[in-house]
Amino acid sequence: MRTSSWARHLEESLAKVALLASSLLVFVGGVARFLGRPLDWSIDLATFCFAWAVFLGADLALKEGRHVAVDTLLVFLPPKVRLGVWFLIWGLITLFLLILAWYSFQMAYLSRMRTFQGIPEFSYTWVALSVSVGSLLMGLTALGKLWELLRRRE
Amino acid sequence: MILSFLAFLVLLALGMPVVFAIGIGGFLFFLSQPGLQLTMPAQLALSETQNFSLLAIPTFILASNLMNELGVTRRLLVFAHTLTGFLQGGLAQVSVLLSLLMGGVSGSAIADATMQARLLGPEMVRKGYPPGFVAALQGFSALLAVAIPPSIGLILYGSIGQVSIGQLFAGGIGVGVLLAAAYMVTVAILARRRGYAAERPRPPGAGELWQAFRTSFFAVVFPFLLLISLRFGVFVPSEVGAAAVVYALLVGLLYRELTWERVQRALAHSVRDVGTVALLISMAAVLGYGMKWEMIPQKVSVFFLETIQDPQIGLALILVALLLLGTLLDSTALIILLTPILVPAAKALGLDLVYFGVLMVLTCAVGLLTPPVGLSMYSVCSIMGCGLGAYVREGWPFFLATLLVLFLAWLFPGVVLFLPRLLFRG
Repeated sequence: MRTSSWARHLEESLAKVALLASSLLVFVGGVARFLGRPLDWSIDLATFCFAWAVFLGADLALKEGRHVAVDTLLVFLPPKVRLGVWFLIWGLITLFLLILAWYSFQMAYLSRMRTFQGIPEFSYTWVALSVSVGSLLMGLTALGKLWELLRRRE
Repeated sequence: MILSFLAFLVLLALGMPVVFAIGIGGFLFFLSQPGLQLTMPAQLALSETQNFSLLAIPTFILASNLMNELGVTRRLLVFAHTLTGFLQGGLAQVSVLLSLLMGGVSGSAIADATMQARLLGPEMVRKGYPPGFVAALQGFSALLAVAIPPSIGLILYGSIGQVSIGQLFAGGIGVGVLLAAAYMVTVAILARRRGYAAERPRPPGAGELWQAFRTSFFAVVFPFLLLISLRFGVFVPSEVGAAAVVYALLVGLLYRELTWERVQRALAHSVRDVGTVALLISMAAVLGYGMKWEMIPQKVSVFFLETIQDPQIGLALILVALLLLGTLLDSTALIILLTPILVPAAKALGLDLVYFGVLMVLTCAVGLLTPPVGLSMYSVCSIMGCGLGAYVREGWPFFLATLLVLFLAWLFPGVVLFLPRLLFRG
């Protein structure tokens, strides 16, 4: 329990730092360009931070059930059937996210020799990992929801 | 591709979050095409986040959440109160004006509706306004956030459809002001009929007005600063959004409301907002690859060009369809999914893409307020503790007013286009 709250805190902090850094980098890049001294790394670093903010933020949103769903039809189902449908839905989401994680880890590995935009010594893998880590985290979150549903049935 | 759409619709109906229904639908297309590699969906999801012009979205979301936390809201409320408090139905008129002003710092209708219902709702109920009326009023007037720049909906449309965000912002103002006027008239009629009281005994004097304007100056001028900086084209929209973040921090500093805790709270809200919106964009890119592969945007354009032909009728058809879709689907998802399909169709019909975008985005946003599914509606009803029945009974005049404004804007493109023409096309 203690490790999970620690991990969550880390995830939250990383996402916030990435978002703030991405905005400030865009600002600095814009000012530099305005002053006639464009920084070629600012945009790339900003999109790098943005990718991490997105996929970590998506997991934070998933943990709190913030991804929008249309659940009006579900209300009309009898409780037992509804539970079954939820089970199916979250099972599919878990499967999808874990498959996405699997293939994006592959993508991250395959792109290890490619450098990211114009930044030397900075492998594309570090950006690609945002999708892998994000979908893995979301997959685990979805698995947690499945687990909760299973426990509720008992 | 038919399999993808079917899967998307079935999963959606079963209550799966829209973003995953889109993702799974898109992934099925890759499974059904043996020639395509399965690392591609991951690649597509990533590539959206590497698009510099999309950085306008997180920067503007962060800027408006910061403004909200850093004391801007309260100052705008004082300003609105001074300006319209003397009218009959004072607090209701203040709500509309506050929405108009808040629209200028915030880009999200749901956030504004929620915030205003919390801020003004309890006091309005205490003064005798029915909860259903307050819910509908706050919900609908928050649509102004979608029309008045900055607007996340317009940024999404502009960056996905590659339409000038500066012109879209300028275009939103005309409709926004018209909407605000329509809501104020609606409130005035209802207030007279029901005898809602004024808040202040008399209209404000010049001194009072000046005082109120001075305290909220930095918030009131913000949308104008945005337009100016976009107009001169020195900065791209993403940079303007980033500058807005810095501006919000400076305003917070100036108002002495800048604390670490508030910045943290704004960041916490923002990462979640960005996570949901950008994940939608990423997943829509996976589905969108299949749609492009099957040339669906071209097919839709051909349909409009050959079967409908008349641009105004084509536009009316699209808007009515969006209004119907919006009763069920989330407006952000609608904009993200349909912009790549509808922009080529609008172009083929010869419609002005700024005019089309403002109308499309606003029409999608009306779906936030229409039953059975509407996020703003859920939010305001739960805050005001009223049922959907009471909300609908009290909300229909506002709904009609909104439709009337959309109809006028459809009939007279100048309502949308006069400012873009004046500022950008001179």
